[in-house]
Amino acid sequence: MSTSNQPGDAAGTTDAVAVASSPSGPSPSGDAATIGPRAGLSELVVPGILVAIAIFLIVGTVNMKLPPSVQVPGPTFFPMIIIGLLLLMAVLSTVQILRSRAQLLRGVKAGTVSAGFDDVDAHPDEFDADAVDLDGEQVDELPPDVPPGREPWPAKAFSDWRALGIVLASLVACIALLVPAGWIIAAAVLFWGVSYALGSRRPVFDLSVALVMSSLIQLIFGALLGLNLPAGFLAGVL
Amino acid sequence: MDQLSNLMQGFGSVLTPMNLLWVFVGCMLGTAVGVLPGLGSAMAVALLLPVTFSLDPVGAFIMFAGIYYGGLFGDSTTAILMNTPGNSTAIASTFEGHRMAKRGRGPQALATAAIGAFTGGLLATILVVFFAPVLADLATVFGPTEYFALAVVAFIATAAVVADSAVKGVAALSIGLALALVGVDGISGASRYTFGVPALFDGIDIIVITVGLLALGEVLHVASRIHKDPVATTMGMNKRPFLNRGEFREALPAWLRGSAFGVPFGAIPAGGAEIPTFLAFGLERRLDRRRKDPQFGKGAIRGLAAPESAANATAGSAMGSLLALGLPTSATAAIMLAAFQQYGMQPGPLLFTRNSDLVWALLASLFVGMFVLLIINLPFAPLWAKLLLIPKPYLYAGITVFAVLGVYAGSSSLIDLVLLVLIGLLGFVLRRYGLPLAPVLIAVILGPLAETSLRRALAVSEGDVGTLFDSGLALTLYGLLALGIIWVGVNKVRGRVKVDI
Repeated sequence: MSTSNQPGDAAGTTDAVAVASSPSGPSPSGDAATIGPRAGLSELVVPGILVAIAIFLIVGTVNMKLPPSVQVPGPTFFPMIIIGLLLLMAVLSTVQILRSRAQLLRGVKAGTVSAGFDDVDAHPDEFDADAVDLDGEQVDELPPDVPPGREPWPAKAFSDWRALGIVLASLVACIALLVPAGWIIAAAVLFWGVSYALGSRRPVFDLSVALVMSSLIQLIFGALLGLNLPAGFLAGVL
Repeated sequence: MDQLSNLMQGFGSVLTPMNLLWVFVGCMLGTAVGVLPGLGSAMAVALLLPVTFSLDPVGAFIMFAGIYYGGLFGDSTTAILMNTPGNSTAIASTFEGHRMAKRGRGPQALATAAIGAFTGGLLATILVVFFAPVLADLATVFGPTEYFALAVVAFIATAAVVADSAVKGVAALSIGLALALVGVDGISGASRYTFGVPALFDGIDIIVITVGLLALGEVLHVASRIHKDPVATTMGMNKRPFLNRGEFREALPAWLRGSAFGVPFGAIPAGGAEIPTFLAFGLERRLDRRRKDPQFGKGAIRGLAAPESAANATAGSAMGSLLALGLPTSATAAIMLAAFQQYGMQPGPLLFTRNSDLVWALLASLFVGMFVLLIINLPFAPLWAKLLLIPKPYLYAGITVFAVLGVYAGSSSLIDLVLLVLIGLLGFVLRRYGLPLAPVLIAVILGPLAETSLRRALAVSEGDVGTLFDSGLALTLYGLLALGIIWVGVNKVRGRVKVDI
């Protein structure tokens, strides 16, 4: 879905300017210059996952122990349909990704799509640019923007792997600590780690918030509602 | 008028202090997650699924319904005040709603949205009360063939019609179907894809899947771009939301037209309320151009009223579709269907006869909830916007802790927590590359139904595939699906032509 191609060149330029000045978008010319040979290839993770799931299902289907008397169609019938569907979608999405990437590269080479990404980077507020506010023409009836949380990423954007890594590490630490150290400590570590990853920079204060929260949960859910939360160091007390 | 007397009985069981409390809790929670961008009613219900272990079904479902409706009330507040839709369902409300606020008509905009949501929800719920039992009666003749058709329609409609790209939608769908396969096969008793791990014999717990995809996936997604998103600012507003008589009269036709768009879309699996809100917005815009003094672009009250009522009308008829047919038409409805399964109930035609107390209490609670929502949203909308003052790190850290709590509390199993993290990563990757989540959820929840009904139908016919089309109802369903696909295809081609000009 394309939102950048508003009629008229003037509108096009305003769009580009808006993107350039937005904090998340680097300048369009920068985009054109820095497209590497591997840009956009990370999307191939999706077909990769599809193939991985298909292989998992194939291995499981081959090794499945069938009960002696099986009604036809048996337990492998539906999985086989799904394996086919997964592989078909892997092929189709690979084709789609490579084609749109080829288009993008061609456009950048020709210099026609200066940004090429502003269509995916569009945010609802760019629709509200005051310059074209009054004529109302700018408002598109088609969903101009995919819903929050579903926006495709600009091909050049990179993930904040550090923040993501800290969240994952906190989750792993929490799972590892849960039984030996108890809910209060494990959940506090998790809370503290995630809030640090998301940019909170008051470690001592965060830690006290985390401990208060995990203790409250232990009290309310563990003691009052009778949920089974590991007590850890409080084992004798609770 | 069976329906009316049943409904009165329903009111009787809802108007107890305990159940009113659940209505209220649901409405508050729903409004809160609606207001907060990035959080939605689907995530809230998923995080609360574990309460099904300790709460009675009536209390749990009226709370879930309150969350569902509340999310659609709350989402417009930030759309109007901050130009940031609280949910995808409020995107269409953002355009004219925020313009109204910019021109100093914020109070009127908030009132238009709240009354619109109320009107849409109320009209749709009234229709559901009268037509859902009829629909359920029709559906009692459903056999395996019809159930399979129903599941296929739900799959294809959510995957291919709603998603921006049919390939991405069907890819998401097949991932969900694969997840649903794990566990002991109900018909033959063969253990499938468990690789000998006893914890997987019952399949991957639906709570693990929904919490992982919706809550943990969202946290990881936010973490990966926390330093990249621009910060939106709230517009201050001191006055209470209100509408004068002239404004009310101006908005009224748009509220009604919006509801008319919402009701049919809620009943079919078109992935929730996005499409009808945009259709309603588009119609108001076209009608507006014919007026002497076009208002669109200057903060048109109708451009806000129509999508708001459309969104809540879909919630009403989605409940009808869920209860009468067992057909989830949005992500939130899909998770509520999972909650029914947690209680060992199967929504659908039999629910109205077997669990009629529950159904009517739930329907009655929708009416009560609507009034509660109007009261807590109309005067207090600016207060709700203050929720945005919660620091993002604490908000998402809290969600993560609750995700772990919910999963662990249900099963006390560390394997489930590991699965939670893996599925959270899957949810992150799906979000990262723009794959829709609704098809995954619907596939996980309806996958087993699709499989058993397909195998039963084929077993009866001894492998003759023709049996799948040997039913008027099934053919009608497939016909509707084909029409939907053609309609979407035509629209896409048209859109392309327009863009090219």
